[in-house]
Amino acid sequence: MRFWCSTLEVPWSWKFRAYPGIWLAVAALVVPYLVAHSRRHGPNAERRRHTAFYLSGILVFWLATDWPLGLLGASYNAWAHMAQFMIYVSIAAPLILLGIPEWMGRAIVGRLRIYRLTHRLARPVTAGVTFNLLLLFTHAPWTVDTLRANQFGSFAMDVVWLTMGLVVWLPVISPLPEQRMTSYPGKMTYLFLSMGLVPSVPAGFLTFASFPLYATYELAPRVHGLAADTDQQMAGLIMKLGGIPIVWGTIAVMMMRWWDSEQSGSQSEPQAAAT
Amino acid sequence: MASVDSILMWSPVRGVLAALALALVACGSSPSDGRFEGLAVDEPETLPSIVLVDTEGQPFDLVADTEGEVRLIYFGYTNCPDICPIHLAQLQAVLDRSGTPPNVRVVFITTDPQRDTPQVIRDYLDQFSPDFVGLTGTDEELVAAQKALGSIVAVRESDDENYTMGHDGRVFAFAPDGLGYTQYPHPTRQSSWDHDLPVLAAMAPEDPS
Repeated sequence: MRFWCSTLEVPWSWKFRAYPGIWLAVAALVVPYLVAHSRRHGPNAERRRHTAFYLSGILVFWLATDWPLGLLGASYNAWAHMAQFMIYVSIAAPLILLGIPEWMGRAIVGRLRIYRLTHRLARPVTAGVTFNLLLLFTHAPWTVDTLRANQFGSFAMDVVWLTMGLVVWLPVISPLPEQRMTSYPGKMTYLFLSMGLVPSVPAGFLTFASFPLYATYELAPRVHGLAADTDQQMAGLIMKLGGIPIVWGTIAVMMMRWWDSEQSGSQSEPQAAAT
Repeated sequence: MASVDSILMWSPVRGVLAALALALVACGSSPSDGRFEGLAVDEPETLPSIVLVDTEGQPFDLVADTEGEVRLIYFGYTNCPDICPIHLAQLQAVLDRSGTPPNVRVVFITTDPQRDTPQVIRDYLDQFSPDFVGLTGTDEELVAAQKALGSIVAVRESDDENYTMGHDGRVFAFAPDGLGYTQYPHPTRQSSWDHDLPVLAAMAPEDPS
């Protein structure tokens, strides 16, 4: 039995495989959170909202990491590998951040002594560059073929992916208000550049490469006859298009809020002048 | 990618076969002589004249019926869970690419004639390409063919009804001039095939005049 999904050299099967390391990781993320919440008194509605966000994020992380998607992505299909990445950074990470109340965020960075680090990482340029450099590194053929070949490497890759997701969302939805960008246009531009524009470059490489780039997926037993080049093209498309609903959905929400704030601002100005 | 450790873990028979294959490859070939990304053979041997039966039930002569072509000869079986479908899928993907030499013939010779009837072989190969040639024969003929090409002779791995065969994972490549310059172990990447096939295809027999 393996503790984490990694490359297998047997044909794909829908027979369930257990990965206890993933269950332990999920428990390690959930139990301390719930214990901390139970010891803290506060408004019930806010606590429920935070808990719902956090547990949804962890559930999404679990589903993307465990069998079957985790194993497909670690061993058989580039599209599953990419779907896993997109789910981590576009869904799991922001939900987790939205689920962490400010007091808990301060307790975490205080206990781990990473306030300065997170503060630096939360700068838009730093967060965007860090995210995209790690994106390039963790999707390079050498990295994927080396790390996915064993469960420790595969575990490391998943941890890095989730961390990347947390970092890239920090300037927008950090639990600590002082780390968030204040202007809506700034947030929208940041999201577009860091998660919408730059990742389309490696996605293009995947989609239009002459040959399969990853030996792991090229030489894996085929799953339902899916050819290696088609699989890689699907991965490229997922990387290019998969984030659109989240990134552009978030930008659309920000646009509306920005509009609302502008409207309320312009309405209050004449009133203020009259008084 | 298949590692030696993982190959050896599959089963004792496969482990022995894998070790033998590695030893053969190490003794009889070098990583590359610069022309090929496949394993270059020290002393290229001439393609032996082997006659087996194709999927139409007709005799097929490996030399006469493939004259002027690159022959990629592979010993496998249709119930193979891993290596055979990967090799064949890789070849199909490369041969489907534009610019690949047209004179390349993939010849699949079964090592499991009990289950691999001509029709079973045809149906199996058609999943990859209808142009792939499938051959079978008697046990003796198939063993002789494997020995003649320098392949490790395949063995049945158990008495189980759904048995697997331990077999050589190499594709033996012969140029149009009839010489076997290179071999391709499992796994071989598409980029290696794509590099080597034009080189092999250009190695035509010398004009006697």
